Amino acid sequence: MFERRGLKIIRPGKGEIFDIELDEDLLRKNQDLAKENKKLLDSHKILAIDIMGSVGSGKTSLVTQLIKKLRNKYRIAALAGDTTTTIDAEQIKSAGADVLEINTGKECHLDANLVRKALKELNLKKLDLLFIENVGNIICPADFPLGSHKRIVVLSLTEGPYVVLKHPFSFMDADVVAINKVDLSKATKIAPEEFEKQLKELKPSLKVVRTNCATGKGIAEVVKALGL
Amino acid sequence: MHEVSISHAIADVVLKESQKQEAQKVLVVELEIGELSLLNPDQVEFWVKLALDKTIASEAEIKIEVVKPEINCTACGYTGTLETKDDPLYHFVIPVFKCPQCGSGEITVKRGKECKIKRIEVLT
Repeated sequence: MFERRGLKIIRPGKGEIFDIELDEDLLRKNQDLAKENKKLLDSHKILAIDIMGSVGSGKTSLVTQLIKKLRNKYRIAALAGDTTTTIDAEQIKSAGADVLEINTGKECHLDANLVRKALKELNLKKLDLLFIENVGNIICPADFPLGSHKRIVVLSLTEGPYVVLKHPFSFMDADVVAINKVDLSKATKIAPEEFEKQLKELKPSLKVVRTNCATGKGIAEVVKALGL
Repeated sequence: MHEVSISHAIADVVLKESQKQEAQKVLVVELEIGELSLLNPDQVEFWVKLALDKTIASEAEIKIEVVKPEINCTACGYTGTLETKDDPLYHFVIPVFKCPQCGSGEITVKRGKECKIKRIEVLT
């Protein structure tokens, strides 16, 4: 027993077994930061959309096409997440939007803290719409909300026929799915209908759109599905 | 894929908390991992053990409870588990992200996404 400021405190003595209730959620810290990000964005009336998808699925191409389509309607900025390089940021910049590169180093996903740091660098007063492109990865980003209002997942026909079946959790928090590279349906022997059926079964509220982000086909439909 | 960084974070908390209690040894580490998280419990156990190697927690028993999903439907007020699809193609059961009662997609996940250190047991 100890005494501190007149209070008796029972503490375990030497050689005793002691339980420490922690109830500490390691993912919660990120979730709380994500909520703060969302609050900050809301206070500036900015709509944030995050983009998730495999390496090479067409995320940067989609963001580039969306910016071209929407740059006269909204003031747009983009965050380009990548492990290294500024290739994505440069491509997005050429479409005519303010862009910030977030390099994660070896991490396989963006997190709310990195996004918070990036938000500090943007002039939020002069912004209506923010695209946040995640690191090319269809698994990990699903555990790390960023504070965006909507999520679009890009999946392409070149990723093989089992993307939806293998990665059901990736679509859990998605609002829109873009099935990209539909022009390669014949070469890949994958029918977009298959993905559409699987996605509807997994999450009936998903809006599914077919795109070819290289040419801009289907971009108008993506805009509509995102309510922009 | 982020099991390594999460496991190091777990080890940090375990060691910090046990030091606060001036523990000589950590005996048990109890974790909760949600079924909807993208963390593989087996891998987390492996990496936590490695992260705790050569510390006062190197012999701790790692207990992991897998938490089933619990959802809340904004449309009809349903609270409970998700409907699952049991397909022989999978090693695990796939949840269907809609309300099992009214079919609405307007659901919020209440449990099942966590990665939590529930409690630890130390020898003081």
